[in-house]
This record gives sequence, structure tokens and C-alpha cells, in this order.
Amino acid sequence: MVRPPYWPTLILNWICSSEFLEEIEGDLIEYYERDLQHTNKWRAQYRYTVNALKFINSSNLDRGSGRVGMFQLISSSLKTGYRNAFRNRFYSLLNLSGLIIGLTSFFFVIAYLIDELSYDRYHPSADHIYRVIDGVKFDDDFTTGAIVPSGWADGFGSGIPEIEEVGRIHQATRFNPTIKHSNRVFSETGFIFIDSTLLNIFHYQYPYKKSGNPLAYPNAIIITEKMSEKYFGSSDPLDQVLIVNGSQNYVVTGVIQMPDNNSFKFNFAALLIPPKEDRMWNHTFVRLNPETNVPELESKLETFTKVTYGERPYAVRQSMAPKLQPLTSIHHFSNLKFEYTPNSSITYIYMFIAIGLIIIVITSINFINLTTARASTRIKEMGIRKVVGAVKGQITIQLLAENVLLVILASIISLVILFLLNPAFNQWTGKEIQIFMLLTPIRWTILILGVVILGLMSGLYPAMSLSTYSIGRQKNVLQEPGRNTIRNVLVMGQFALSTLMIIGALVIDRQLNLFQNTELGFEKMTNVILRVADKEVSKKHESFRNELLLNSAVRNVSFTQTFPGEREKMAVLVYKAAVGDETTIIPTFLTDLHFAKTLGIKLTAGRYFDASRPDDKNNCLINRKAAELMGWSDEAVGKEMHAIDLNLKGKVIGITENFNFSSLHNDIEPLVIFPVLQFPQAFNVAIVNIEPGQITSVIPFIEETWKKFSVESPFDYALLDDNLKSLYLRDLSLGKVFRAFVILSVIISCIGLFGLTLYTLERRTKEISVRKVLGASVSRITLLISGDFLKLVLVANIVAIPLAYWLAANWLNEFSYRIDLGADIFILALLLSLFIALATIFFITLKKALANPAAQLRSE
Amino acid sequence: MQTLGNLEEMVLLVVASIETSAYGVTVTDEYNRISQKNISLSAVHTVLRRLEKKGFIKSVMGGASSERGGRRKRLYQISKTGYEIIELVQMNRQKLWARIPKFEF
Repeated sequence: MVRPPYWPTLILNWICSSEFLEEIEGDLIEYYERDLQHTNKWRAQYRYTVNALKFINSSNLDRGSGRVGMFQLISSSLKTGYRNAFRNRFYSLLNLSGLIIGLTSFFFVIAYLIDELSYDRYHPSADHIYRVIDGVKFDDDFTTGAIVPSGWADGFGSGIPEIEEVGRIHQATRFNPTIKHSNRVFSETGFIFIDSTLLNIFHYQYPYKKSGNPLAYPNAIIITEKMSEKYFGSSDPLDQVLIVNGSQNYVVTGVIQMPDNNSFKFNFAALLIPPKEDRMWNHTFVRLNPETNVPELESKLETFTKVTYGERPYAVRQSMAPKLQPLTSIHHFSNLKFEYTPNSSITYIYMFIAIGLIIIVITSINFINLTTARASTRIKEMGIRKVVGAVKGQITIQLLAENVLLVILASIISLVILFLLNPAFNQWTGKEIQIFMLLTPIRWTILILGVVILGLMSGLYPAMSLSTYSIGRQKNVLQEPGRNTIRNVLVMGQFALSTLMIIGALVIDRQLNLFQNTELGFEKMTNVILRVADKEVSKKHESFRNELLLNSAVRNVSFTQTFPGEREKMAVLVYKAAVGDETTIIPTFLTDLHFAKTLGIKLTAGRYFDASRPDDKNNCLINRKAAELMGWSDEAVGKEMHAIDLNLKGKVIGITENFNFSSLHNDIEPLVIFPVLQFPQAFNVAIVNIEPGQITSVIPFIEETWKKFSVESPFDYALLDDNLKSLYLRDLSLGKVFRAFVILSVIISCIGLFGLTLYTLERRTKEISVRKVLGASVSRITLLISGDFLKLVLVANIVAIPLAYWLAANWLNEFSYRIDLGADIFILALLLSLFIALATIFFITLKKALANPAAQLRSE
Repeated sequence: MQTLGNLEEMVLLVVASIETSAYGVTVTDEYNRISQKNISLSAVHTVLRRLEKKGFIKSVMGGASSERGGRRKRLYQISKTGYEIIELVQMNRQKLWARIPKFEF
């Protein structure tokens, strides 16, 4: 006779009422014995288990008189917990809303972090993809650059077994083509050239794709979904033709879904055809064999490049010691020369982790404080429970269970809010996060575990502190005047964190303001940027300019390849050094003769270009930095600059001030302004300087003029100032997000403080009334009560301010242009936190102080 | 007057029809045989308990035997109110049934 499985019986034993246990077991065994005769042992045991487990339902649960079962304890505590919460509706609501706000904010921070940390990780073999980087020489030192000569990829692809695949991206920074499709022309950005093998390294989703590798077709181009919609609407984009720059025809062979968390975004990617010489530099990616030892491979590559490419002309400017940079580290850690796009910084991740932790700590403190404060009203209940025989452990578990349930309830509500606010959150941070999608089974598990752990941690102290009161001492506890060291320390900690956040928000705000208001050294408010997609207009730039100047409100017009704020599109040319055969690299504006005047760039020496002097076409302006770099300082005027790549030669006729032509994140670099009237097709942009206050009235005139010159290309303009603002979008959005979380965490702290004050006032009603009867004034009583809390806030500030100073100073170090950390920020934060605390508690305190003592005392 | 659900009514009928040994297993088997369904033991137990609470059936623990691992059975028997209610239900049904015209489908 095979015995039925043991453990289901055990469970039944544990949960079933002893009244029914015997018959249930008997019936189960009878069934089981019958099953044994009909089927095999396993099936019988399985059916026994299933049948036994089905008996776990409320009608069989142990709630009889005999022994005190688990179910009884839990149901009783739940009932009293619920009644207690309902009786103190206001406090429960306060506590719950603090929890909900805290948890919702926390979940948002987590979602933001998950998204940020997922950058470039969606490629199936993301961990084995590396970018090849190498040192580049500018003046004396090697700076690590993100790009390497195009020839290297060929060598790496064939000779080295560890490298499974090599693919290059060529980002033509000066390439802003016009793209035409069925009579519509647009000026486009994000047009890159890639190897077809890159598509074996980077994996994209293709809503449309021709079979095989889409770049294996002649004149193939792959475009993003967004571009497909822009050019082809809802019709099938495959095999459609895009005419680039009026001459080159490309056939669409693939449409990709560009993931948002991608460091190498593009709109168009055509096949890269590298020139024979090594003039082209690329982002070069390799996918390695998973077993590769990276440092070993790096030293192997060093030997390889030195032997294979050591004699090439660029070798003098290269350190020829390629390093491999993991793809997944690029978004957060990489800040090299010639990055594809400016990357984020790990500091932001740390900042968000800090915000998340601070919020969850503040929330927990709130919960602990409000729960312990209210718990003392339940001492009677605990006393009774103890009298009827509850032991300490049972009471702890009861209180703990209540707290955990409250936290779970709050999390469920928070999750609902989270899903509802998801679109708003995306709009606000500029991200494309789908919170539902983020919640994988593993994350669900972590979430649930985390919530339970949070409930246990913040519930443990209130539960312990309440259950340890002895019955005899409880009377004293009831009369304790609300002083509680641990509670005070917690309130202090909470406000210290809030002050920290307030200071953080103030510092970020000021730094962002600095970005907006720093004198850049050129006119940004009166200049309008016109995108010149139509090269016919570029060629007729002089007549276009003259036509615009007919309007008296137009002060000046300049055609140029690019303008301040678009550093990544600037030409970076190789110049011959002042002495010897050395070369040096200097960013260069390729313009007409009116650039400096139109932008209002000031000169420290020499003169502006003069259109009436024919030789000025071959002269140039440099900034002071460039003059220093060339070793000329003041006597630079008259010296010759020679740009080797474009073979531009010209005399320096003026030295401009060091004005900031990239972004305030970076220092001012050396600069050359070279007129290139011989290549008018290089002019992508017209800058129009307009009398202040007349911009809106002049725009229609400019548009009219534009239409006279260009039929097919749309009129596309923007204020220079708006363009510059986009440089700081990341900072602005960060500032916005940060500010919101600061406000939320301050609100949570205030909810806590409010609850505590209310509780203290209730406890001290009698004391206040007696004081009043004995002649204390309203102001004295208000001061007495609020003073206690304000003292805490003050101490909290003293703790927080040095820490905040240190953190802020560290953060500001990242910027070349930064605000001074004056005392005023800290004083402001101190006053602000005191004011917020006072505002929170003042009115309820005052109300209590004003109340009629007779009415208060009579109730006793 | 206590209410009587559909399943409750069926189980009550089964208990009434088994004269001497109505307990969990036999009631479940009989119910499943008559109604061609496959209801679980625990569901029947729940219903039996509810019926007893409503006073339609009475129970008594049977004697111990060597079968069933030595566990006793809880034997059920229909009570007077139980008999009255199924009788009432039956009468009501008969009245209604008599009034239904002969349908030809």
C-alpha cells in the first residue's frame, strides 16, 4: 500500500479546523485508495494533492474555539487595523497620501533610470561590441578621439581572429544634404554613411526591408520610420527613389525603427564607400568573439596598426595604440573628441539614484513617524490583547502585517497613477518610456519584493516600539508629552534631505540661467537663421543679400556654412603651424565676407573684411586663442594661415575676441573664419541681422524674397537664440525633472510634519489650555509648539548645508562656465525650508492656541 | 425561510436519495453520476457544511474502521426542514410544469 503524499496532509492539518479535519482526510484517503486501483501511483498521488489543496478555502479554515490558529490572528488584527484606520481617517489618509506620492515619484525615478541604463543594450550581442578609439594629437598632447582612419577597418576585419565583424559609421559633419522626392525638397540632417557589415553588428527592427542585407543593393539607403512617413506617407517606401543634393539617386531598401535609447541615431544611412587615401575618419565598431581577452587584443591591435599603418601620412597625428571602448559604456562614460553626439554623463545617473534614494528615505521616515505617533493611541488595544494572552511576537507581527498591507495598498495605487501619468511623464522628460513594457517578470518580482521589504523595514520600528511597552508602563506612555528622540532625529533627517534637494534645485536653476544669460560675444537676439536647402540660392547669395538689404529693418546678411551653436557641423581643418612642418587642427567657419559683422563679433586687433577690397576674399580672421595657439599673440595681423585640406591660404587681417561658438559646456576653442566665396555651395545657412523689435514684421518680407529665389525649397527659419537654447535642452529637461522631484519630496516632508504637529497638539491640548488659563499669550503658545519643530529644521539645515556645498561644487566642476557658490544660495535654502516648515505648522498651531481653554478642558 | 441554491438543491436531493451512508465521497460520486459533471470533493464538502448550517441536513460521525486510514466518516441525513423544502420546490416545479404548453421543436 502506497502512502499518500505527506505535505498536503500537513498543510491541511495546519489550516483546517480540527472539527472537519478527520472527515476530510478520510474522504481524501478513500478517493486516493480508489484511484490507486484504477491508475498508477503517480497519478493517484497527484490527484490526492490537487484534491487536498482544493480544501484550502474559507469554509474549512480553522476559526473554531480550540487552538488559536494563524487565520484567527490575522483576521482579528486586520479587522482592528481597518477599524483603527477608519476611525482616524484623516491621519490614515495623510499617511497613505505621503506614501503614494513618495512611491509614485520613486517609481518614476526608477523608470527613468532603467531607460537611461538601457542605452545601446538592445543589440543581441551588445556586450561584445566595442568601438575602436585612438589618441589624436592636436598641439602637444594626445587626446583620445572617437574616430580612427577608415583604412584600419579593412585590416581589422581580415587578419584578426578575435574580431568577428567590423563596421564603420562615417558621420559627414559638413554634410547637410537636400533630399528631394516627387517635387518636395527638404534640408536634412542625420545623413550618415555606414558599412553594410554594421547592420550585422547593430540590430534594428525593420518594418520594411528587402531580403538579405538592405545595403547590399546598389545605391541603397536605409531610412527611419519617421523619415519614411515624411517622404512617402503611408505608401510602401521600398524601392522609392530619394534624390540627394539634386544629383545622387538613392533607392530605399529598408526602413528601420530607430530606438530611442540609441547613442548612434540617424535619419538616413547610405553605403559607405571609403576613398583610397586615409583622409576619411570613422567611428569603427567591432564585434568580438565572446571569449576574447580585451586587453590582450588591444596590445595585439597596437602591434598590428604600428606595423601595418605606421608609415601612413596620418600616423604622426595618431598614437597608433587603438583601445576598445565597450559600446554599452559610451552613453554614460564617453566624452572623447569627435563624439557622434554629446553623450550623457554618469553624474546624471548618480544624481537620479540619489534623488530616488532620498525620496524613498523621506517617504519611509514619514511613514515611521506618522505610524509611531498614531500607534500610541492603540496602546489600550495592545494592552487588552496582552491581557487575553497575546505574546509580544504576535503583537509585533500584527502591527507589522498592518504596515506591510498599507504599503502594498499604497504601491498598488501608485502603480495605477504611474500608468495614468505615463504619457505626461514622457512628454515632460522627452523620453519614450512604456512603463508596461519595462515591467518584465523579473522586475515584477523585484518590485513586489521591494515593496514588501520597504513595508517590513518601515513597519518594523513602529511595531517593535509599540509591542514592547509593558502593560504596567502604558499609563505613563499615554501621558508622555510627545517627546521622542528617535522621532525627532527622523524629522531632522527628513528635513536635512529636503534642504539638500532645495539647494540642489537652486544651484541647477542658477546654472541653467547662466547658460541663458551669459554674454556669448555675439548677437543672439537679433539674428535669424535661414536654412538654405536650395543650392541655387547659395550660388546667388550676393543678389539675395542685396535684395534683403533693401528693407531698412535688415541690418546685415551673411551666408555661411554653419553658425555659432552648431559646433558639430563646423569644418575642422588642418593648418600648417607657424614654424616647421607641424600641423595643427582648428575649427573653422567657412563664410562670406559679412559673417563677423552680422553676428556682431568684436575685434581686439585689425579690421573686418571689406567687400570692396578684392584681396580680402583670401584673407581670414582668427580668434585670440588661435593666435596664441600659433604662437603669435598680438602681432598676428598680417601672418599667413594655410588650411591644408581645402588648400585655403590667407593673411590674418583681424583678431576677434574669444567668443563662445560651441556651448557653455566647453571652453572656447581656437577659431578661424575663412571666406570661401569660391565654393558658394558650401553655404548652408544665411544669417539675417534685423533691427531689434522688428523681427516679426520683417519675417514675411524675408519669406517673400526667399520665394522669389527658390521655388521648391521651403522657407525654414529660426531665431539664433532658440537654436542656442537647444544646446541646453538636456540640462533644461534635467533641471525641470529635478525641480519637480524636489517639490514632491518637500511636499512629502510637509505631510509628515503636518501630521506630527497635529498629533502633538492633540496630545498637549490639556497643557496648552492650562497654560492659557494661567495667563500665557497666544503668541507664546504658538512659539512654544512651533519652536520645537523649527529647532529641528534649523539643525537639519546645519547638517545639510556643508554636504550640499560639497555636492554642488562637484557637479559644477563639469562646466567650463559655472556660477559662484555664494552664501546667498544657502541662506535662501535655509529661509525657504524654515518658511515651508513654519507655513505647514503655523495655522494649525495658531488655531489651537486661539481655542477657548474652557471648552477644551471641560471635556475631561 | 432559508434560500436554496441550485447546487445546494442537487446535493440535498442526493443526500436524501442515499439512505444510509451519505458522506463526502458517496455524495460526490452520486452527484457526478447523475449530473454527468465532475465536481470536486472539496466543493461538495463546502455545500454539505452550508446545508447543515441552514438546517436542511443533520450529521453524525460514523464508527471507525480500518479503511480510510482509520478516519471516521461524517454521515449526513436529511432533516425535517430539508425534506419540506425539497418537497416545496418539487411541488412548485410540478405546478409550473403542468402549465407549460406542449412545445414542438
